[in-house]
Amino acid sequence: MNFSYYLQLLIGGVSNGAMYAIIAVGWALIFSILKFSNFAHGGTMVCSAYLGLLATRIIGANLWLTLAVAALCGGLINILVELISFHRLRKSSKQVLLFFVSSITMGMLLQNLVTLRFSGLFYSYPNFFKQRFFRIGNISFDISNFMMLAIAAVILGILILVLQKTRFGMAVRALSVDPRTTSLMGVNVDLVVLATFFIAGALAGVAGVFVGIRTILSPQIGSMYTVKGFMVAVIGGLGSLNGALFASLILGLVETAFSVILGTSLAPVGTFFFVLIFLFLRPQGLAGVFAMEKA
Amino acid sequence: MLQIRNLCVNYDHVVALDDVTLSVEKGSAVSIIGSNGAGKSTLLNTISGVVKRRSGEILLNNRPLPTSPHEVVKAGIIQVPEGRRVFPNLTVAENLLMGGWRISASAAKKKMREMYELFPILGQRRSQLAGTLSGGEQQMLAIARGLMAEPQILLLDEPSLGLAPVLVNQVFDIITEIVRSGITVLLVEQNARKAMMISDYTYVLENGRIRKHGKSADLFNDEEIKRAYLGG
Ligand SMILES: Nc1ncnc2c1ncn2[C@@H]1O[C@H](COP(=O)(O)OP(=O)(O)OP(=O)(O)O)[C@@H](O)[C@H]1O
Ligand SMILES: [Mg+2]
Repeated sequence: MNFSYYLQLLIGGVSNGAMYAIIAVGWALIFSILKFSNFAHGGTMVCSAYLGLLATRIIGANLWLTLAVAALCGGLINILVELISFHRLRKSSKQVLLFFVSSITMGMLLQNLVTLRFSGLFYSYPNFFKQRFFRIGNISFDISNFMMLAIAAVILGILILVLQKTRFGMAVRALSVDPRTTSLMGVNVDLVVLATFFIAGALAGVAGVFVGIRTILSPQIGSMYTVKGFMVAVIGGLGSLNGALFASLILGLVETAFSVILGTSLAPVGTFFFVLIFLFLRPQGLAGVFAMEKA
Repeated sequence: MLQIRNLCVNYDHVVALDDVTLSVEKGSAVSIIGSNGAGKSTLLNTISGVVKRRSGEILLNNRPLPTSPHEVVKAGIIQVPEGRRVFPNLTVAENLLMGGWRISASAAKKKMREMYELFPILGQRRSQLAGTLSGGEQQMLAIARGLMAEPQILLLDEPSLGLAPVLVNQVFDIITEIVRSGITVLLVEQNARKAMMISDYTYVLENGRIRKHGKSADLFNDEEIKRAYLGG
């Protein structure tokens, strides 16, 4: 227990947070335009994680190709999610409960498809990095942590630029406050919604690869990260990108800290407890949007 | 130019428009007056495609007008909605660019400069969030945003609503200016006197039906209209 140990822990926590950020930002993106959560997010994530795995096995894809495959698959799967479980409800119903049922069913379906194909067995990603560690002085760092952090930062940077500086991003921001007027301006709202689902799905795909690199894959990752994604979204204040980023960082650090204090098997208990206390103290989330308003 | 025939619209069981027929000539200004709940906004929203009709047809230049909102804008009809509806989280400049969605990005940049000349106040506030503008400024922005689309027909839904008298006059001056520039205007107003003064033709809508119509100048002398809409 010395300085270098804590430094490594901190970096591990931040990189863990970066993975949550990729999940949570995709979640927040969908919530901000539709005002409800897509509970199939984890399903998309686990499907694309396994498709990325197939790419490594079948064509020996390296990290970048795996990320590209998973992102593309995630995006396409999410387009199907929108068309199958949201599209008609979006036009005909304002009942949040229906969206909830429809998306959670879709998520379970995706997860079960993975179970059908890869049932029971545990798969893990190959080691993408020639060396696992590099040293500065006498401290050694885990390369994969740094890579994930850097990749997440670049992806989120690009996403923010797209949202702030492009016509498409402008339409997404307009849509998030006033869909009807956005369509009155001549924007094909359905198309923008689909494109947003594609982006959120691509983010889910990248997150899936990250999970595959950090841990061993199992179909249950789908439901587990749906819960965690929702948690981060609520802590961040639903629909807020800044809040989601901040909440991800906090959750990443807290989870890492608990895994040291309580051990990995008990860590989730600590994390859930932390989230409950947080929500008790600040139910509106970090960004101040009231969390209970819409699930 | 724009023809509406036997249009019927309802919201579930509420009949909002009942057999409405009207036409708008190219280059003219037509006003639709009527009290609260008469169906004025419903009419504009049905033209814009955000409200679905039960029956009837809408023709633009003798061809059926598309029914999805973005296609209506593409066809050259844009609406300045009731209550301004600027995007509060977007800057003034971005609001204008949203209005210019149907034209190319470079054309929109050019058009935006034109708007800043027409509405100097918007030029000064271009990088301010639209939500922080005053009501009057927001109305100017909403009109400018509509003009950004370089429409053939501009639909205006109660542009004078909630404005101080000076601003009301200013808004009507702008509308006159718009018509003069060759854009056809369909104007919905509760301020019947002002609307009739600047329009060529007027339709009176009551409970979803056209009650009366005629040249605006003629309707000024109609006893019924005087009593009901022009304050005696
Ligand atoms: N979304 C809706 N759902 C149900 N009924 C509606 C809806 N929108 C309008 N109505 C009803 O349709 C009728 C016409 O409404 P509309 O908004 O077109 O009137 P308006 O003439 O624009 O009134 P105002 O001058 O107050 O704006 C009203 O009776 C109104 O209650
Ligand atoms: Mg109205």
